[in-house]
Amino acid sequence: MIRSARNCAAIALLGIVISGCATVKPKDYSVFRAEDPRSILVVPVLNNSASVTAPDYFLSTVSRPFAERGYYVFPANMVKGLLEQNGLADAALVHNAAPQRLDALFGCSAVLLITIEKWESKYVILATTTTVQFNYVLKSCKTGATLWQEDRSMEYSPQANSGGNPLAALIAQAIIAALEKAEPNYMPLTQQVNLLAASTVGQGLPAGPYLDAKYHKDMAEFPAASN
Amino acid sequence: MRCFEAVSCTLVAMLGLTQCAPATRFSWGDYESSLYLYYKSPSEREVYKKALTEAIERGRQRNDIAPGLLAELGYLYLEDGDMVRATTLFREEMQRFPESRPFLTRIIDRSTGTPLARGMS
Repeated sequence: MIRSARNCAAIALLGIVISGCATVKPKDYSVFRAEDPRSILVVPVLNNSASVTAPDYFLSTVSRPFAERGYYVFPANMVKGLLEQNGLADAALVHNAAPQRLDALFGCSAVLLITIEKWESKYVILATTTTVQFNYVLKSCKTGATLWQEDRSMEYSPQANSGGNPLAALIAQAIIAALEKAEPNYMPLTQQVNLLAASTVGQGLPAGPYLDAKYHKDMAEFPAASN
Repeated sequence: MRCFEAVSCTLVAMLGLTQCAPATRFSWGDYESSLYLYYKSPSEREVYKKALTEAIERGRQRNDIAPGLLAELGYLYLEDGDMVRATTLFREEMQRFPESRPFLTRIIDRSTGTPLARGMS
């Protein structure tokens, strides 16, 4: 509960940051700035959750938010297919390989290594809470150095609209909780977490070369040294 | 569980994002939802292919084709054995996104007998 409250505060704060441009302590982007990556290789994700389908489903949500930051993002499904054909179907093999080996294959500036830490749906007293948690590490394909990292989680619980009748509201809530339990709503949650990870000011990725107006012009928001 | 809090905070966050978020940089069409569908059930491959085709079509009109989509569609044609269409799409991706050149040049070369994994060993 403390954790969810903290997440809440962080998310609410983010709303303020994005709309009002207030400042939270930004990350140190010196290594990132020195490297100045142009392209991001998205590889199959590591999975620490119990869901066997999570990694593939997740993969469909990564490219867009990171490309929208102005980077060339390699075709994720094609990369996955080619790695599988080349004996690298196991995500752990790819994650543990030296990024320079991926450079030899793809000519990438950076590789995005994502781990699914949580992907679960729990039913507790008339409510189903769906939780996702992801860890992101961006490594240089040239040197192997870590350029950026982030850890994010989010929870979702659908709520019934109480029409004033307590019993009806209770039944409606039970039905909604059961529906969420049967088919947890992971995708919108995941899309939102990825968007926040990639684009939060001072925490996500600085603008890349395909965002002409911002590229190299957001040094204040994504500083080379934190103060 | 403070479920209500989570939901209301999510709404606050979304409000913040929509207020400040510029229009998307690239045309994505139904890329994400169709790829999800394809992973969920491989028989939906045609839906994914159609979504890519339409997103690219729209992106050509607005000159904002999203990175990777031309290559993704080319890869589906490659799987189908349609090298002509695949190569045409790979070349357009390379022209629009020079970052893809080393990779896609290798893929095109491979179709003429150069092994992909050469650099990996």
